[in-house]
Amino acid sequence: MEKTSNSFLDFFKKRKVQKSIIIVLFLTVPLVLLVLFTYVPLGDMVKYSFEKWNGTSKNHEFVGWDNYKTIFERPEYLRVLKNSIYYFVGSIVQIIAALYFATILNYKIKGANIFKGIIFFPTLLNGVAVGLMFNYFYRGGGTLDTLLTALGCDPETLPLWLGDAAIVNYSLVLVSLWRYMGQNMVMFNGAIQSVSSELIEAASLDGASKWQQFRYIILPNIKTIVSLNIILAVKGAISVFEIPYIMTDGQNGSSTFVMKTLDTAFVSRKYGLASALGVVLLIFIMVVTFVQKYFIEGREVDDYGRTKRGAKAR
Amino acid sequence: MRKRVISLALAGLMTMFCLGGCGEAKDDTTKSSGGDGAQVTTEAPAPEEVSGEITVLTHRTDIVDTKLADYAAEFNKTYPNVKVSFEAMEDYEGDVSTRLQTGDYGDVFMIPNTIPVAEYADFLEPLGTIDELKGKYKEEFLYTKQSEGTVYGIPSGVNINAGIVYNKTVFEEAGITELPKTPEEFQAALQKIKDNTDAIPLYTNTHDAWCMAQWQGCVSAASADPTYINDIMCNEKDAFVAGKPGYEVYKVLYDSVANGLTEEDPFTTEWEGSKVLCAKGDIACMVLGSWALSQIQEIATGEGIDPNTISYMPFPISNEAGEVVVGASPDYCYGINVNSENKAAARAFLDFMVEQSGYAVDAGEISIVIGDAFPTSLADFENCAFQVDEPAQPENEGKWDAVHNESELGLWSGSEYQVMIVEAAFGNRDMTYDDVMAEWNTRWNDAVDAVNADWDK
Repeated sequence: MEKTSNSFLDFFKKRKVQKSIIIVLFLTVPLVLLVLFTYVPLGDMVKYSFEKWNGTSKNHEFVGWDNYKTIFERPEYLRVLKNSIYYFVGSIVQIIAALYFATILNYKIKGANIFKGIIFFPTLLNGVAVGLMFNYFYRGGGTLDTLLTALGCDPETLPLWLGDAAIVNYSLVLVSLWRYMGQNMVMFNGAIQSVSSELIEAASLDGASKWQQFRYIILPNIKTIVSLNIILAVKGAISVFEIPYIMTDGQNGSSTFVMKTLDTAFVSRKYGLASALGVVLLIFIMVVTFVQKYFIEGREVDDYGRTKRGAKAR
Repeated sequence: MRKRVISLALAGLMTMFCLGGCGEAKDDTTKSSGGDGAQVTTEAPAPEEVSGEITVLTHRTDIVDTKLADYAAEFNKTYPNVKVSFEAMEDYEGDVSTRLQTGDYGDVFMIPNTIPVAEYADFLEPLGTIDELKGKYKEEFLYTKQSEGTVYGIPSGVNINAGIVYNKTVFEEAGITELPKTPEEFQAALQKIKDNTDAIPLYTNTHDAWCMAQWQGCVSAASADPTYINDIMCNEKDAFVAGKPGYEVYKVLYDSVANGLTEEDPFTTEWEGSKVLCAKGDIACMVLGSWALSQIQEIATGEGIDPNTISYMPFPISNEAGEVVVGASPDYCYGINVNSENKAAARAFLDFMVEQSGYAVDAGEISIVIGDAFPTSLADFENCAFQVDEPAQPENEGKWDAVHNESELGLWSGSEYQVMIVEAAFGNRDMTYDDVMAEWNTRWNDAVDAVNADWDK
């Protein structure tokens, strides 16, 4: 008996075995959480998308592709996607502005940290607070109107920033830009700091202008982080939710795809259809991401990143 | 400390047993004097003869030691030999539903809505037929807890479903002497407010979309048919064409916005702020449920304004007889435990609560007794016809919800389709009111078809 228990213990004392036990134990927790809270619900969502279900009832009626057919046959579901274009254009502007600020704040400027702080600050604010704040900012006779009147605009000619269907989306995109630019800037700034300052110094000695330094030294070095941010921006534009939900609740045609999905599920209690909308959204984002990766990172980079090293060297 | 609690609990238990015992002892006397429960209603014994101890279950934990105790004291002046004790519960509906099976649910209690109609007789003492009671009580409210003409519960009061909260001072300033009864009169009144005062005539609160859902509360009464919503509309094609209640109610909203009688920017409104504006007289009126009245009156009091200047009026749509119809829903009903040992005493207390205590008016509700005064805040409803929606026929049960969900109109949640009316009236959509209603109609018709297709399954 003792002999077996000894060999049993010895087995566990082996370094290799202990190593793998630790690896397995440490991996189990995040994997279980990931599967439990991401992949199982995802699987359920795909399953519901083929069913007719009101969210509480015991009967789930299998309806095949009906929900998907409804989405593509009835215009009101995909129509809201056009609002994503506003947010996508907005986020490109946002990335360019963030790059600009990150670059100039990287040079020695007085009070660079204060400016960084000011630009980053909105990111720290709670989304609901931002929504309420800008509601006061945009309302008729609110902060923006007061400001413009003080600058000499005739208060009679000022539009209703959230009440005019032609303007509301621009107003909302501006809020989104204000809120998320700081986050992009901090990421870009961190990436730029890792660019060797010797390279930039050498270039400036050779007479390269600031633009040339940016174009040929900084940008190629932070390409990965820029492309990551663009992917996130597209994802954000398609699934934009928080700001329009709090500020306008989709009124005046500012509704978005996610808001439509929520209404379908929780107001009309069509969980099957809403799940199908969720799956469609997921597929959209996946397609856009792959297309983007393909174009930005170049053809030679495949999904396994095999030629990444080569690409970098080039 | 702990010992004390235990001994207290023990003492409590012992008294309970004791009370139970006493009740049983008196059983015979009551039965012999009162006779069969059903007959108690007609030939009530003299007040002094009625005796016994009764327990009253109530959901009003807030007033059990104050107002309810006062009512009991008042009751004892006429019935000195009845001892009334109250038992208040936080989770009334849940707790009482559980106790139903034990038979121990007091003598007089508020009937939980979990008892199915078919089982009324198993739990509740019959209180008389509708024909017998309608001389004393308003008939339309007696159908709440009845089965085949026999009434098992009497509402403690009645609430108004929907109407318009308005500032009396502003209405007087504008020169409105009589409250509007039709949509046309309402538009004229709003125009008067716009012309004669600085107040916003009607505040839509569009930004807080749920405020749009308040309008839906007026639709059922506008039909002047208690079966309309649950039995007719759920099977009806073209429910939103001119003349139909759904069309007419929302037309008031559209016209008000299109005529410029609402706030300047409906898309940035704020509910909390609107209550203050209404209290101060910067807003003349808002379409809301009766629950909102006390909230705005409270704010008025806080601002140093007489809360009685904030009042409540019916939604201006009349039936063919020219009466304004108001949707109403009865509050909890009083019932008597079928196992009660002091039914005569219980019945005496129930009648006292309904007819003499003034409970309904104290709670800001309408009393169901014919001839009783209305609470001051609801005085404008005195000459209205009241309508209580009837539950759906068995074949239509749940159908309205099914059709409504299928249509995605979201009429009870301030949906994009309701907001569409304001957007169209405001000029943000290239649509007339009829265009909006045509879209609603298409959705509703498709939904009726879709639901009918698998309704019988």
